[in-house]
Amino acid sequence: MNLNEIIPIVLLSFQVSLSAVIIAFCISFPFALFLSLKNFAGKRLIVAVINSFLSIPAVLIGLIVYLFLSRRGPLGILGLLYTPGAMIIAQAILASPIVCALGLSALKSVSSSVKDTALTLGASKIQMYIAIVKEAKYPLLVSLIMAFSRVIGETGMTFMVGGNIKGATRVMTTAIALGIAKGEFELCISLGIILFVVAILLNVILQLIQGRS
Amino acid sequence: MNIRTENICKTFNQQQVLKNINLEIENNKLTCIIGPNGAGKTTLLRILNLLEKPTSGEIYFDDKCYPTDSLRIRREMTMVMQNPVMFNTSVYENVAYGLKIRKQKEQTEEVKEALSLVGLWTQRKQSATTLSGGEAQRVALARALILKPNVLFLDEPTVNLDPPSVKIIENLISTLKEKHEITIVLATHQLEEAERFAEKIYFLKEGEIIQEGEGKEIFSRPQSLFAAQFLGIENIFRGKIIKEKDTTFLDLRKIKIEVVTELENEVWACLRPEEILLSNEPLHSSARNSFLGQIVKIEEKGALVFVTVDCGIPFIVALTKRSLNDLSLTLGKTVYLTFKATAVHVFS
Repeated sequence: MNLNEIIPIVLLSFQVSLSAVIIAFCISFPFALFLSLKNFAGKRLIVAVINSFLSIPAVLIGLIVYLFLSRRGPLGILGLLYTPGAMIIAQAILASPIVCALGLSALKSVSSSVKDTALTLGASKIQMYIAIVKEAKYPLLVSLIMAFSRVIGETGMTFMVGGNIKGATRVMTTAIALGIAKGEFELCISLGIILFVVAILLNVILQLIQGRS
Repeated sequence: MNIRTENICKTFNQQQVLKNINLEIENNKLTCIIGPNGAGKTTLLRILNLLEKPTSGEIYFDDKCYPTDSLRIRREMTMVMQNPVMFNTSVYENVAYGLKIRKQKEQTEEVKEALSLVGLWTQRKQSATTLSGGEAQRVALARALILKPNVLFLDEPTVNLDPPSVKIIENLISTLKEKHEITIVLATHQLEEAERFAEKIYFLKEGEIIQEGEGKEIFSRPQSLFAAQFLGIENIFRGKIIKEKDTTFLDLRKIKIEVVTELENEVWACLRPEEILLSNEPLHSSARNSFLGQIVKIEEKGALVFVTVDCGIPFIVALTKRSLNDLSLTLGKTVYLTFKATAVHVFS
């Protein structure tokens, strides 16, 4: 088994998927917080749209991102196709509805009651937001872990926009999918075991968090 | 701090919850807002606490108008909600929260004092979300009192609580009231609470103030049938006013009772059971109304006994168990029933 080959693949997998989840969080979380606190016409429609995004096939996201980033696409000029950047964008798009929908349900259960309690105890607006996030921290963390385990295991879409270029965009899932075709069983099994361990670990963490909240 | 409102209205989804509320909450007094469930009490409290914006109308704090997001004025007041929300931390942290967000570094002494007031200092390390309803309500009260607010809003603070918690909370309210250092607004549908504590009462029905008055007064002088029924007044009559020479009577068909009123024609009248005297012999007194009747029902309620006497129409009379025994009152016995003309409250 060639560790020199495996380690960069594993590191890149984590790098791409973590970045994607962080970007998804930065975009989705303020939106979820806003949705949980404000009532306005059309809110239910927006929530329905977010929920339906949950079931969009990843391969479709891959196609759209590909079309945008390909040389003739509107963002072709950025030269992102077949770079980790493209994989991060696609995975962030896949993760966003998960973070948003799960985050919204986490926040919705606490936001109005915690908001009033914090405000009546003299919290400023910002202190009130902090109180809400603190109360929802475990379910929010759950939403991040769910999103992370979804994107780190994503294959087809990541391959479409990343290209599985050795040393550049090869991540665990794409390496396994294409390694089999090339008969690299040793590498595939090693990466498979790592993915399996990651999945188990994430689930253990989930269980621990859910036990606490 | 005194609070005055001018024509407060609140509409939720085209439904008017509060209509033209004009009230004045006096500094360092206990004001009660009573009314049935759904009358708008909580919404009114939330508006006064600046948690909710009124659809129209103004609120003045010490005669000054503030924007609803004024942190300075919000920090002068606090509310204990009917179902208080505990932050998912320890009891101690919950109580210290208000001081922490005010950037006060050291809170131990104050937290100890506040939690001791509600008898929960020993449970300070417990997770606040595992408290019982009564304990949570007491922690919520400690969490509010630690802020030494100018105004304290209490929304149904004793509903659905266990008797020991009710007692602790009521004693605390009564201590606070006697000190006269804090303005308290208490929303409740529990009349005993209102009768016991209130210095001023606003009666809210379907979003409108239908009656306001000093504490005890409102209970003997309801201004509508709804208020009389809600206040649990037992003897409510419908009759016609007739004037004979200098005397005014209320004609109840079977009997006529003497009353004092300026009203005419068809009216309602009520008579509190405590205002009626029972005796075995006719009483020689200044009371203008005396009837002979037969006891048809004897019912014990706590320390009091409610005796129904049929004098053509039934009257419910309240007396102590001792009086019942002294007069040896039993079912079927005939007794004299006496009350003053001024004890009968007539309303339209």
